Amino acid sequence: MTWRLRVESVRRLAADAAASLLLRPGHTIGMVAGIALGVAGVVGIVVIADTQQIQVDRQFDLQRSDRVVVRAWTPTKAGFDATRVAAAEQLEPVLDVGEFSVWSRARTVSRTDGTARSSRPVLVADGSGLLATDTRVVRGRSGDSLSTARGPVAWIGERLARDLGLAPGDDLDNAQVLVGDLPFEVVGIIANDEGFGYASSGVLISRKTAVATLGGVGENVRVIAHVRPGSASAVGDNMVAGLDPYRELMLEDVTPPDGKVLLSNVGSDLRRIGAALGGFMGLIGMITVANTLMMAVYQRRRELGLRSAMGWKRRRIGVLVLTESATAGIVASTLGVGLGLGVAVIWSHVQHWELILAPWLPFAAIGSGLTASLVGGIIPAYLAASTPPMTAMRS
Amino acid sequence: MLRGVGLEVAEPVPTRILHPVDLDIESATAVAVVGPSGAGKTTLASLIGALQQPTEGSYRFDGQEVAGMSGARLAEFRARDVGFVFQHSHLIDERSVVANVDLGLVGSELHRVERAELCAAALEWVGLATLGARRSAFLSGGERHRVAIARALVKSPRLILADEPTAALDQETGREILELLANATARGATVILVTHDPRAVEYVDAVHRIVDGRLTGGGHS
Repeated sequence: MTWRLRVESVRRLAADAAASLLLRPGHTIGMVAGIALGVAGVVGIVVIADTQQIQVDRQFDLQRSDRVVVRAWTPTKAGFDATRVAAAEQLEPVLDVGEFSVWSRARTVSRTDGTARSSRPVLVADGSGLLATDTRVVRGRSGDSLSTARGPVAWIGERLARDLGLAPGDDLDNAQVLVGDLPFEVVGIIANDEGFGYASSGVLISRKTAVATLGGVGENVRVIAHVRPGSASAVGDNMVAGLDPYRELMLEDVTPPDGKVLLSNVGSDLRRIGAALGGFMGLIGMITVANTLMMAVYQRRRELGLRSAMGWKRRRIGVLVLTESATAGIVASTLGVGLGLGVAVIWSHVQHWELILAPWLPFAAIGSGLTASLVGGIIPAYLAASTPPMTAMRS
Repeated sequence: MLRGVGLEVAEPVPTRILHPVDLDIESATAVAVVGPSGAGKTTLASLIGALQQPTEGSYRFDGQEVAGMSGARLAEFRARDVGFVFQHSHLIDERSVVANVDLGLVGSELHRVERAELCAAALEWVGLATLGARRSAFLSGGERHRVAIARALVKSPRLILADEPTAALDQETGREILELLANATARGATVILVTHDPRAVEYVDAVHRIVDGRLTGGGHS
């Protein structure tokens, strides 16, 4: 057979398939609607999920990890070696590094007359620790004086100050608080609007003061470094090794998960959900195609028997049904992509989201719809091909 | 040429449908196979038309053994050499007359222009040249049979099998259909009419009678 006749043969098969679909509008619409809705559902979900992920991305961007937290599990009264901490500050991605520990998670804090009692954290930090955590001294003595502070002096968080009745404009001279039964002179007010908001509710003292007045070695003793985004993991490893080479403090990098990792996990979860839904809808599409085509084949037994009697080979009859299935699948998938995109566009518009559409998605959706319809058409095609030519004579 | 051709089915219970038959049919002649309902006429026609295979015997068509051919070769044989006219014409109602006639050209390696010419010629031969574009559902009973004859003739087969072609037609239309079929022999086709219509004997060269699955006799009319 020449190529021209082959083309003619394929054209006739396609025309036959198209005619069969058009001549049975009820079946065709049912089949196309089933696939189209499945594809539309998948496209809509994937596009909305992708679009939603961008919104999540923006939220996570705000929380991206740019702090390294190294915790000492066996702290000592001496704390961290200042020389080694200074060496860590020399690392290129490190902006600031210093101690910012929670000496006690909850201590009773009150006014000197014993009123306004509440349970508050007691923090121990140095000036670099305040810088590394973006903890600001909003009033009073600078944080640099923490390393030289002697005696029972403390900085208190601005929320605590408010709770204790210390008005913003009040003079700090002679201001005092009780931590437990111990009186501390208030020398400054601190605040933190970033990830260490508890500093605004607590009491901050120097390490020397803590050891001398409160005793113990601290509950959560940490060095915190403010680093450039993306370098937290590498700096953390370096700090663990550099700050405690002999493993006396049992340091551990307890930096919170990087936002990018979390984001990647969230994106992966969304894609998995999309894939599961896509697979489920693909299965429904396949069943719809198989069911509709099997009904059509049953109703067309006389016609298929006639074609067989006329000399159509089994393979050509099977291919005819598969061509019908594929044609319906392509039309339905194209409609489904349009419908799904339309829903996604409207939804994104309503939510004021920026629509994200992967360029490959429409092609993948049409390919999946075509595959589902072809797989769904296999059994009906086999049944059609098995129609004996005697059916024409007997019917 | 059929020698000892018979058919027995195993299910649901072993049943002999057609006892061994010997039958010779001259080419380009018209033959009637007559007999009462259930006698085995359609079975014999289906074996001659290669719609099914006999369980015994030899069937040679123009020197070629048909019995024992594979399904694919049987399909090729039907596509090339056999035209069918079924009792209820079996047109695809939703399609046009010319599209129905074109169905008869399956397997022929022709360009669409040639196909269209052949379809037009066949329709002209059966007197329906002007109805090519009409949807088959809108044809009368006689017209439907004419289209079925055109579909059988369009590929110029060597054998035309007509199963009860006049069963659902009035007297006049029935005669016209029989005449058309008998005239097909002038185009070189061998025509086998399976019928219990007594008028058929007037249009054929030989009549074979079948009763209870046995060919009981025959002769020239």
